Amino acid sequence: MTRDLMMSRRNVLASGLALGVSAFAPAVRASAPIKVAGIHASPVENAWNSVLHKALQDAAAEGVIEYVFSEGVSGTDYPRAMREYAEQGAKLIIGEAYAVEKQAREVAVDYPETAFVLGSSGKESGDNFGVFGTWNHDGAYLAGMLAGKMTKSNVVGSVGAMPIPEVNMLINAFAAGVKAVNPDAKHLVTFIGTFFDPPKAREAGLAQIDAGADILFGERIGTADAAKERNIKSVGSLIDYTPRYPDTVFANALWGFRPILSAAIADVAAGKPVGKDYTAFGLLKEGGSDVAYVKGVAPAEAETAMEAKRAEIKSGAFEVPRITDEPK
Amino acid sequence: MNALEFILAGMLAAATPFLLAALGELVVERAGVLNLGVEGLMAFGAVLAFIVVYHGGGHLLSFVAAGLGSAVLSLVFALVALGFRANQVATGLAIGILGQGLSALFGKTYESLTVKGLPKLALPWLSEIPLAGRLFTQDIVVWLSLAATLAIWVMFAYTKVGLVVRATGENPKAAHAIGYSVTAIRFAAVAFGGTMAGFAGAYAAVVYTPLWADGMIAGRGWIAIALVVFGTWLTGRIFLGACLFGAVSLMGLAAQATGLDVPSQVLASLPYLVTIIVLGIISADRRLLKLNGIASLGEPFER
Amino acid sequence: MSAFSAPFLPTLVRRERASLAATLLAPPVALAVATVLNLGLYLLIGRDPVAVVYAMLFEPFLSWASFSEVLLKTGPLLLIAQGLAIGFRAKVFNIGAEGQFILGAIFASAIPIWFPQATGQWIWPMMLLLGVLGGALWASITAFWRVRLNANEILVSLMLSLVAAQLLNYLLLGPWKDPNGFNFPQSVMFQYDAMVPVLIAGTRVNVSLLLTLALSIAAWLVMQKSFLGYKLQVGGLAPRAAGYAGFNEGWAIWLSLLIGGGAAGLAGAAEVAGPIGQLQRSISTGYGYAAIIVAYLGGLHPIGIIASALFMAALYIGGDNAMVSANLPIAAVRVFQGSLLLAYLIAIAFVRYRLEWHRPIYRSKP
Repeated sequence: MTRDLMMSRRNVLASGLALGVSAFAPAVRASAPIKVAGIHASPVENAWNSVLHKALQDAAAEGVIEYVFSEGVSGTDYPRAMREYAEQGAKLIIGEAYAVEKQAREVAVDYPETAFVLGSSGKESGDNFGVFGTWNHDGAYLAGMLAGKMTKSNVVGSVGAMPIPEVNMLINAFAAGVKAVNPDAKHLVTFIGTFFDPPKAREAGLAQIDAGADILFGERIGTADAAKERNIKSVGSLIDYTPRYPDTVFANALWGFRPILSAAIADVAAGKPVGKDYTAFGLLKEGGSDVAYVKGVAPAEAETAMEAKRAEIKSGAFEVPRITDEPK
Repeated sequence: MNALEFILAGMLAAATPFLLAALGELVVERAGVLNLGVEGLMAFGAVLAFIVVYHGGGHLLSFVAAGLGSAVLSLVFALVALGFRANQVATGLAIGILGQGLSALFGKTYESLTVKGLPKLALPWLSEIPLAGRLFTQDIVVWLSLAATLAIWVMFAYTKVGLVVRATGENPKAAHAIGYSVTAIRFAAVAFGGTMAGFAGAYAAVVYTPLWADGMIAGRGWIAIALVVFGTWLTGRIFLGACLFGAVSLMGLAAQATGLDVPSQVLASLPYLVTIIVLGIISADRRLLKLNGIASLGEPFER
Repeated sequence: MSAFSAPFLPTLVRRERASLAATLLAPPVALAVATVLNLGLYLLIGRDPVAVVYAMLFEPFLSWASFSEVLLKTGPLLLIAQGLAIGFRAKVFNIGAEGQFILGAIFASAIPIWFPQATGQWIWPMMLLLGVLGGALWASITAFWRVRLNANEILVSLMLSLVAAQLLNYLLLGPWKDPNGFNFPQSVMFQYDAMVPVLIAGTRVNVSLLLTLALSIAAWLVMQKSFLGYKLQVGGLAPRAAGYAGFNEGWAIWLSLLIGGGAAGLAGAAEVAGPIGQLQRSISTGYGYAAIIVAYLGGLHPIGIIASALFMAALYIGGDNAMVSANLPIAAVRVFQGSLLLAYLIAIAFVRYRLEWHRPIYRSKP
């Protein structure tokens, strides 16, 4: 009852706004863009969120969606922001459920008309709560294939936040890529025990370099700073770090969110339930994850072998192993 | 083998952010003021320094900007806590929150961008020593903070300025009676502390890990406050403590890199636990406290 | 000679007695000043100040859904601040409520984590009790250090908060990690009976809010009307006088810290057994520190604190609204909180002191 009353108030507000906007918008679009809200637990400049944010902004620029967002929404505030956007009439809500798995699903039950597709470590629920994971291990494997051929000390290292499944899978894939081309290589792993402390990630990187590593895979930012300082090469994760560390980061295990977003938008537009796992759309063969590398840094034959494997992954002939156990 | 060399090489640089901020807080507390806003002051200095370097202003100017900016913010603390005699704990926390908020706001468009750090300078002969040589290969700020440590030690041990600052903290009424302005001295001490916290933040953001990321100070300001107590308000012990805290955190990482697993939470809470114990020991013995503690810490001065 | 007796600077002179009107006026004046300052800041970063103020200060009260969230957030802030204020008035500066909150949450979580199958209506009250115990035990370390070892309680309680955060991390990454939780640092979800019953259907407001209000009234009765409250205050304000009167300063410190710790622990328990429903890393978004602001903004008075807790909670919710509707970065909320407290601390100084400008002094001829 109270909620109905409030919704009507909000609807009035929202439609007023919409009128104002549509008066200026060119009235040529065939189908109206879908209202999508992004709720980011961190600032949108944060690497992971920036991937989502960019895909959403691109889609908005193409006129596929209308995109509103908030950032830095944490803990118990998160479900409230979800309700807020649902009340405002967003058709699809994109975000992350990691710290609020249960509450996020409860919100979805209360708003059956809104589609929720959130990053999550759990399962989808009902018709309107879909999930996705961050699978950029395809890119990590391919970057590992380059690193394996480049290491002179035969030691490479990875710096991660915490041994959670997605991080484990990523680091294991990097290690598998290294071992695939260089079975004798040694792989060091450090977890800094916090999701956020770049100076500590740098120290961890330096520790690995002093333990013999000459290529670092940085799941956390700060790792590349250690590599830069000691003039060795490193591999970035999620986004392209090469422009920020031009002589250091020679390869990146990219993650792409656009295919996941497009799949979710398509389902919403077609009126189909979104209660499913969208993770696989983030794979390389769907156009999600990929490797971005500076050509000519790794030996030419290593690049050729890697590109061949990349084509195999794309075609589905090869699948990068998904190992979620803690790497040792 | 390598782990020891790694710790020796990295210890001083890892200690520098704690050390700079702690030296500043030492002077503040010696003057009888407790400023708990160090974390925010560091964050504010860090973002200012980063912005300056990012736009090509260079490292020298970035430290100047960070020092000035954090000093101004700390003067707001001084105005409220000393000028208006507000509760120092509440004021310090407010400044901390404000500093962190401002740093996030200013740094928003610079998130996870990078700049160039500073080169490491090798000392002649010393840097050639096997194993320990890298201890003597450090960036200029590390050497300067060692010099600052020495200067502050000399100040407290031998100079009149040091004596007056200590007197202000020990017995403000007496200091006032013999003609010193307690408020002016405390203002100056707080501004000095703010400057040093700004330097500490600048070091973290443009030298140690030359990038900006919101929240990158990650509790180092609190460690600095702990360090002052751990060092029982003595310059030399604070320096040793900073090295110790730096070495311990590196030890954990070195152990992991060589395949050993140490629970990182134990290492992370070690500085605080040790500080609590040290505080208990020195406070329990009234004689020790009299030697080391500060009588008027945190209390407003009213004539 | 002194900076504040310099000819161009005024001196603070303590008023004979602070007027009630001025005391009541201080928070709104501080709010007005902070709002104006922050509006300037929003203009500077290119946001529409009117939209921000509307979203931040008005919207939280304009819909039942928003307001129920305000109430939800008021609970822990109010509870912790009431506990702290008792100590602050007795000049016991427990600033470790964050750690006591965490320990309360940990203690309360022990039941659903160790006995996930247990059922019965006794579970959630027991959890709340355990929360009180956990918070009080953690605070008792500070009390022991202060009373027996003479150590500064500000520093000890602060350090203990930082240790508590690591303890929580350890439990969540180790023994208390949900075995089916994909290695994420969080516990199992609590069973139904481990949750505090919801008070208002359709919202997340639960019974613990009633408890909090009841305790606030109790705090008011004890502090203003009882001999115990009197003893506590005298013990803090004039320890020597208290000593003559036969009260023990150590006793006041123990009591202050145990009450403060217990209240923070209860708040922690009510969070995990309420809106969160499991033990996880982000159980507190800095409630323990924000509550210090709340306690001061409320003038350390139980009734004032109810108002300031409500206001602070609304500011949190409003800040989120401002992000959604006015695209304001979250950091701006922190800036607002910090500047509000500073403005209040200055405003309250004017209540306690008056500025005296030095007029030229007419000297008699030599």
